[in-house]
Amino acid sequence: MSNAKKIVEFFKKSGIDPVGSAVWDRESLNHLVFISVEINDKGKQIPSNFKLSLVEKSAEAEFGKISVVLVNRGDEDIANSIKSLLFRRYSDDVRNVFSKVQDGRVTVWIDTKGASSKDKTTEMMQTVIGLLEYFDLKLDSFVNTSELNLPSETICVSAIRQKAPVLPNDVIEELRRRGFEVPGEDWLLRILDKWRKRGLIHRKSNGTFLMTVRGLRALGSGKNRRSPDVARALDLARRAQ
Amino acid sequence: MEAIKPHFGERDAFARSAFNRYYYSAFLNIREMLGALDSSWSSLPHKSYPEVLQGQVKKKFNRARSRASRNDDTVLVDRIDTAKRALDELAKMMSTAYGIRVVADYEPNEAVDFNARPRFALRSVDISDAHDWENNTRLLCQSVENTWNEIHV
Repeated sequence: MSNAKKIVEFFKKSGIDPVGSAVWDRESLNHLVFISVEINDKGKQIPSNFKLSLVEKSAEAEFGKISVVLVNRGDEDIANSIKSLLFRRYSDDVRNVFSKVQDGRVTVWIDTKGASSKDKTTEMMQTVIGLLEYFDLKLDSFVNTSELNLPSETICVSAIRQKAPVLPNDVIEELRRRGFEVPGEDWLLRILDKWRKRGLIHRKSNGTFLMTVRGLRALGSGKNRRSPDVARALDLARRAQ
Repeated sequence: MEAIKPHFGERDAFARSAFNRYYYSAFLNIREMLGALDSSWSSLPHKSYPEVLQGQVKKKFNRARSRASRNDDTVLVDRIDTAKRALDELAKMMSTAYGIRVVADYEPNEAVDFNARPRFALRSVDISDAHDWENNTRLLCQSVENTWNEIHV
């Protein structure tokens, strides 16, 4: 019996029924085993990734390198329902939808045809939440990849790191330049105040903000071309010109 | 004009070629994203993509996540978690697409199933699903890149 057949038998004996025979991948020099998965009524994948990994490792010990290929995601019914609902109801707005069910929680990514308003995104999200109730599932996150995001606290402070000493208005300008939506100065000051009280940034009497050593440690650094220290050095050089 | 019906061999070859092309469209999206994240990831062998996505790329996100968590930045923590889920999906999609491409290219004795619904399938993967690989990888790559740009500024 060939190794490909033995591998399939091995999986069957372990309670996993592969789709078709194992295939020798001459580019990567290993066997590919195709497995179909489904999602049970509790939102769990069957067979589980844990079981798949155990059987894969045992098979590898006997037959050499094996790659398990999942030929469906098991959650197509739910994913297709979400997709068709959004396409049907928001045909002028939605370009693409992708969703994933994991442990009873659903993540949805959408791409819109143009810049859509926050209200529209919230409306679409509520529509999906309504649908998921029928499946007894919860929405974990709803991501509109075309939408301008509110900046996270880390990115607000990293703008200070680059531009310090800097006024809040200049931080807002920098964040908007980076493609973020900033509601206003009060919103930003609330965040900066929180970081200032923890001693991570310092506010000078002239209203400008700068980093403390503790703040620099909290943000960390990097040894690559996108290192924040390099970004600051380049920014200082630009300002000196 | 009269449409000419392809004979069985041609029909099979056209179908295999479609799976092959959908694989490359997904592969190119991910390669472009990896190159934008780090230029050293732009020329990796095809087979290593799932490993890199779930290994090196995820490791960078994990490091940023623990830092954001230490700084109580819950918004960034949530965004990183979502980006990590996108990475898992991209890895899974690449692994499936790669496997199907290997069958399409190197297993000529395995016929394409033209009785499958809704269209035609190879190894239980319908061509409609393969058609979505390009759109879905583009969407997920965008999500990963957006979050990457937030943690590498």
